[in-house]
Amino acid sequence: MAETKDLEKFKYLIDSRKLSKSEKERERELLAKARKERYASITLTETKIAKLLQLKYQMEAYIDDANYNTTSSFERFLAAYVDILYEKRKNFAEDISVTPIFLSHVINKHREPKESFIKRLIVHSRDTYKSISEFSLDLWLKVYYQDKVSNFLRGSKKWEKSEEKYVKSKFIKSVK
Amino acid sequence: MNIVDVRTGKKHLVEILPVEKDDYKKITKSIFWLNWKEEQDFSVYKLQRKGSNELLGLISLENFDAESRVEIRLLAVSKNNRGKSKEYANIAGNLIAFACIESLKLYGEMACVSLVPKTELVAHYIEKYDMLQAGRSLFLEGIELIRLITKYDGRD
Repeated sequence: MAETKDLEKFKYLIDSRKLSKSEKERERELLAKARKERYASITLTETKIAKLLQLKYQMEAYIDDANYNTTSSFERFLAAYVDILYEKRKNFAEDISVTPIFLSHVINKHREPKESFIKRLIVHSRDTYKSISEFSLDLWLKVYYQDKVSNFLRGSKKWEKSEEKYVKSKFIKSVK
Repeated sequence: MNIVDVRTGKKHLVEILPVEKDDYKKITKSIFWLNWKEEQDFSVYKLQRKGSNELLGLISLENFDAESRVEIRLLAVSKNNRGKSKEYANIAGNLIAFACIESLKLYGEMACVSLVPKTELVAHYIEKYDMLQAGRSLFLEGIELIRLITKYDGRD
């Protein structure tokens, strides 16, 4: 009875650190072998689902990151999204009724995506993720605008100085 | 992700965040079993209810990039949330699912999460989390890893 109670308690604790160096090495080999066998049977659909979820979580992590130190993520995420689902990017362009050249220009940052482009991308993603996982409708928009904020702030050292001459500030004494 | 109040059945949203230096003052052996300060060189995360700073669970992860694998080095649920008289359910499951998400973010379709459980609990992890066994290790990858993520990260 006491043993059962102890085991119940240990369901709430994992400690993987107790193996010796040689035991760890042995575990690694066994794990690699088991995974290799499993990986041989992974289906294309499973691969696509994993990549789509990876993309979603990477986008969410990007918008949660307030450092604003990366830019061009919209284009990078867009290219990843298209490449997971399509062998040729022109087929995605066709599916959202834009020209392959326009899509290529957006991905390569030669043109800004139009509002209609983003709307269609959102609708396409909604349908893609429907049976996989929740996908917030505002995710693409948030990534797009976070890029804008990042770009804006990256240049702030330059423009802050040059704009100061046009601004009369009100300074308020701090209360201590 | 959410946890369930065992008494009322009510779900509560949780967040899993990196443990900060100050948190270690609250992480005592009496609540979390072990000396977690030893884990400071690894990625240590805390689970808490949204809007609260009470620590309900902890997890320490180590990435093995060459193997596309994240190892759960340590996981502990706080004292009040263990066993039959626990306050909240799903804390351990959410933390394991979080490890799966971290692995998936890094390694995509190759993502794997592994751990070394107590021998007597192997069957429990296999049954509860659909884990696979290799030697003394248990692991999640592929469709099992994805299923665990979608089970716990349903966002409802």
